[in-house]
Amino acid sequence: MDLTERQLAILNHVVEEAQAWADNAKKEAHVLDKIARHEASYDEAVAKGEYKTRKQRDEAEEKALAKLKKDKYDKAPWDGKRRVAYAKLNQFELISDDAIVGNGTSHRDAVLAIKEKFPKPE
Amino acid sequence: MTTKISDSMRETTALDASKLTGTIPDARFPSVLPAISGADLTNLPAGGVDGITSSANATAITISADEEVQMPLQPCFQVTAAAQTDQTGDGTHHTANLTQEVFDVGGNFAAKTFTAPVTGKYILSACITWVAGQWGATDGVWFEVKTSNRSYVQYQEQTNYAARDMGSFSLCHVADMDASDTAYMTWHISGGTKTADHAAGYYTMMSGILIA
Repeated sequence: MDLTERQLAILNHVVEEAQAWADNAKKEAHVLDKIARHEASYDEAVAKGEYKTRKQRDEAEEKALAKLKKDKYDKAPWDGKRRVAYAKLNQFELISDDAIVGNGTSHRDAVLAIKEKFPKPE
Repeated sequence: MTTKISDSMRETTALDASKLTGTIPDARFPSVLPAISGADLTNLPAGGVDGITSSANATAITISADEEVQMPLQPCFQVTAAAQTDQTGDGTHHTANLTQEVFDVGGNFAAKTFTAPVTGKYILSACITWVAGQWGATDGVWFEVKTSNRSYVQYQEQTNYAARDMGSFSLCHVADMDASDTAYMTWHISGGTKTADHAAGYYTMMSGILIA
């Protein structure tokens, strides 16, 4: 179904991919009804300024979540950061490898590297 | 007072109400009025009665003798998942393998996707049970019921899943859907290798019904 730029813009206000949604619609009337239903909401959002499409809003929310995680991590104390790093180690594997070798240092080295990266304040 | 109706008046089709005086004895009416059959009702409005609009060609609402109300043709579905291996783990967004229909009133579920037949509010509920299938620096599990208008998400972050680690999510929302809008379940685990699966059968399923 061929849509005007405005029709596509209105659809992109509510769905991620307007043309794909319209192509998948069961009836042309469904497309026109959806456009009519969301037209006022689209115009209102545009009038408010700094308009974002549905896709842009979703991406912004994902970025906001990632930023929230990063901010929480950045504010965490040294021991909190160490715990995050320790959780990524397969510690039992490293310890047993060292024991099998007899004098292995893989576990010790991994832990020391983390301690050095996140030092305990004086 | 009694009035005698002449034979000529029996053919009368119009009477001047102001000329009618006196009373008619109650005895002229039967003590019990005859029952009215719906089959004899004519000239009902084509669109239904006040407050109800109908284009139905079949029984859409039934009320039992005990006043239970049913809508046997109301769009409604329930579908469970079939097994599928190595779905995600590397960040791949996998559409849940919902191919086992339990019921699908209206036939609106196909190709792992529900398509709304009319604009309205739909209750959508979904659950997933997943198995990580790996030991690695995984970042977390993302579960989503994705409709055309909105996404409904659950997320859990955890590092280093073990191969047999399992978990479950479930959610239920009232979704605003337009006619021809779609709804499906998707999930992913990121940060590891593509060895994670969702479980089959009633461990992973989705259902929905039009409510308004």
